[in-house]
Amino acid sequence: MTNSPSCVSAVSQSSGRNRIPLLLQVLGCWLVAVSPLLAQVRPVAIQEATILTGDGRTIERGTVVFQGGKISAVGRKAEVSFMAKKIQAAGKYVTPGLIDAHSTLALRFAPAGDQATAKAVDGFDRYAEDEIRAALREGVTAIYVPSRSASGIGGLGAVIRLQPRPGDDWEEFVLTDEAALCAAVGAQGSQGPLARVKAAEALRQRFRAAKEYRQAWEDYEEDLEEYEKKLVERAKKKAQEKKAEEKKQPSKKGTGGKKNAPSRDRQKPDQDKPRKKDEKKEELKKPTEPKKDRNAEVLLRVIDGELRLRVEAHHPADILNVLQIAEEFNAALILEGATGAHLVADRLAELEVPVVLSAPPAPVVYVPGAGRHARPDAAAILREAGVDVYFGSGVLPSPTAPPQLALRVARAVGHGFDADAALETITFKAAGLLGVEKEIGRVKRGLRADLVIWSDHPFAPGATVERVFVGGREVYHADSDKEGRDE
Amino acid sequence: MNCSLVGHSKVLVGLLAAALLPAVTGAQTSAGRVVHAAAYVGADGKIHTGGVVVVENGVITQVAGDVPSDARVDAYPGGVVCPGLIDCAASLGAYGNLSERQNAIQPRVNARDAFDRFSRQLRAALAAGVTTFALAPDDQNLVGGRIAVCQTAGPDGKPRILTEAGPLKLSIAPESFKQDREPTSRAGAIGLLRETIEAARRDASEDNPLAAFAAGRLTGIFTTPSGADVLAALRLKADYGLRLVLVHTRDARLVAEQVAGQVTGVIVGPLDLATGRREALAAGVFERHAVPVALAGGLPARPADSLRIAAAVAARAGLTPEAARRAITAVPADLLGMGDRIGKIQKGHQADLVVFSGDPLDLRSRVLAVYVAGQRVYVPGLKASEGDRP
Repeated sequence: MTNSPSCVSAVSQSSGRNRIPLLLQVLGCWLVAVSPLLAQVRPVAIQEATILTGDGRTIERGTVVFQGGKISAVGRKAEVSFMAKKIQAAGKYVTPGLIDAHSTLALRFAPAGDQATAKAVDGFDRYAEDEIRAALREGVTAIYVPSRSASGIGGLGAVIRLQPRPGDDWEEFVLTDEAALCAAVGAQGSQGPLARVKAAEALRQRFRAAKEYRQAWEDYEEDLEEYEKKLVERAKKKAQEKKAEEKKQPSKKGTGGKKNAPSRDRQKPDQDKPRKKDEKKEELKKPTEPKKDRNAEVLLRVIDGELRLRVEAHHPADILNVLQIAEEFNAALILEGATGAHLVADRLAELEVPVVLSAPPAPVVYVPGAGRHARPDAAAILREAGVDVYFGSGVLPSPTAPPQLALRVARAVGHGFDADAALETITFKAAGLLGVEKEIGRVKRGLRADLVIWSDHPFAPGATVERVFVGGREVYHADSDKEGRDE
Repeated sequence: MNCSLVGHSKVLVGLLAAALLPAVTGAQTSAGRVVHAAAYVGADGKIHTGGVVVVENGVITQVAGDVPSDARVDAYPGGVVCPGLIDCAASLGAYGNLSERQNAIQPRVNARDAFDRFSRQLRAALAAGVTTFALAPDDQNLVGGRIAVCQTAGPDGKPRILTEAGPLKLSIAPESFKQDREPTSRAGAIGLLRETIEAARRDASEDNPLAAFAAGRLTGIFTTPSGADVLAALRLKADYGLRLVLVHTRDARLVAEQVAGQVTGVIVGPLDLATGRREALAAGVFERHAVPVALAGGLPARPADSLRIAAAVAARAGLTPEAARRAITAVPADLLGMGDRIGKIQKGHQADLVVFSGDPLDLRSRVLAVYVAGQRVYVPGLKASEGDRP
């Protein structure tokens, strides 16, 4: 309090001394405040680039225009207004932002096992700027984050578009916070066969319990209905009896003052009942309401087909167990991690279960871990068998580890995965898997302006990301990326 | 180098090669053999057009130019011929533990004694294009012993030792400090190392590798995980005139300037797809300070293609493509003291070749064939027993 007068005087003094600079300052401040708004309104055009649209098309020397966070035009002859900010990208490649279909980037919170209501979006650290930048540096602009617990049911996964500095509108960058129900079987590294049996049985038990929960409610509602029906019946009967009685004893008529007393008696048939010797009916008991179980209700949404089930597993035996459970409860399953899935490829194809391949958990020294079944050509084998294959970075060994999504896919191509389908699986098709294909995943008019400018084809050796836009906002520029270089 | 085209032709070439094998093996002439692809990786690490490599008696006699008329030709349309990949920090096929636990100074350990030529890991490495690797003692001892330079296949298709007189392996990694023997600390380690080197300098015997190392006649491959370790190694070098190759990744940007001109080269890695940015940048930093860089594959703890993954990761973090290709071929050969025999496609070198469907740095490229000393020892789809041998 004592400081404030001197402060004010200092300000007034300085402003008195140089009035014009102050005016300029105000103008400057205003411009700074308004320029982000201008940036949103002013269209941006990336010109002369090779555009890989994400759904399999290539546009040579094409133009992408975006404005207000969305793509407004794409093509070789897209119209560019004179006031648009133009980015010359001759010789460069433009792709949709890559989608990491299984990522634990900036995921800080692991729910204690067996929680279906926990949300991954609550565990995602939106302020983890370095990690988010590491992903943007590699062209990844959206991730699917599981609510990951090492075993059992973990909660609800989310699809998040990445922003290095979250603004007030951060919520808009969460495309869905209920992408799928997450579970894991045997994903905590090496386990014995008994643990495998237990993990699968625990998952099955949860679904069974959810079904029983529904049954309990259905039974309750049925009972309640019956109970109410009986109540009404009895009341009717009583009323009839009463009427008959009144006919026999008309003398009671006219005692208006006492009218209330017998009617009160009639309203409590249960209490009267035991006292009446000729009462033949059994005792009428109100059914007790089952306890509400929010976890079971989430599981029921899976059983009803409203929510997909995503299970992380890293052993073919675990995968077979999970397939059986999904079939039993009619759950739309997505497998993730899926080390060893190539060994059961035919079964996966038969049940039309998509697979998101990501790294197996780190092995325990001297114990053959999940990595035992890891094969670089797993993606090719699965695809050959007719399984839909997707890619994710999975559980990384350290928080600063980058996703390297493009290199992961390039490597799969080197081991037999279809080169023509490769980019689609981490853009358009990944968006489809996550149910956000109307928002992201393609360079297409009307979709969000999540775009990457690459120095070369994203899978080419030495290709680097030069600029990244998310929602039309530039979120990464290689020239100002000090972390990414060696100085 | 259209990838899909190459993908189809790979199958064709494989079938063609399989069909031709019995017919041709008997008819090897003195005119030798020609590996004919679209391009080759030169000694400078660049990709040159005219992928003609002529081999006679296991040695390269001609690079590029015309195909000799009377020679037997293996054609790989669209392929790129690359020197056989070299992993200079592997423990492939090592049988049992590569380190002695009781004494930190083990100059007489020779990794050749741990070589298990029947190990299955060797075949997986060969299939990924790795023809040569340094079977190296691990980082548990200050002086770990002698490195053996081995091949995943010899010309007869069987794994072999190329030389058992490789460089000496040293380490001041934290693993080398133990509770039950000296050294127990970093300072103690460096003191013990000095003592050892000084004692070895007084030893004139020819067969002691430590004496050769102390006299600057034998290269030491020195594991120095931190920047401070690197500086300590450089002080030893300055004091005793040692010939050093450093194994260092983490603090590259802090020590690259001091390292420049002081060492034969640096081994960076292993790098994989989950390697952090700082480690990924290391190779490029050393390159910009004109330090020769080799990349470690770290086989068999990592996948067989980890050398190429390391090169691809480093290339995305600023290592030039030429240096990245050299970092898994020519440079490791030089650092192992085998640079005049393997690691390059040039006249007079042993014909260890890998034909890729494209740039070896491009992870989309596939291995089409592997040659050791001019003999085709691997073609995808053929079993080991069906190899193409004389």
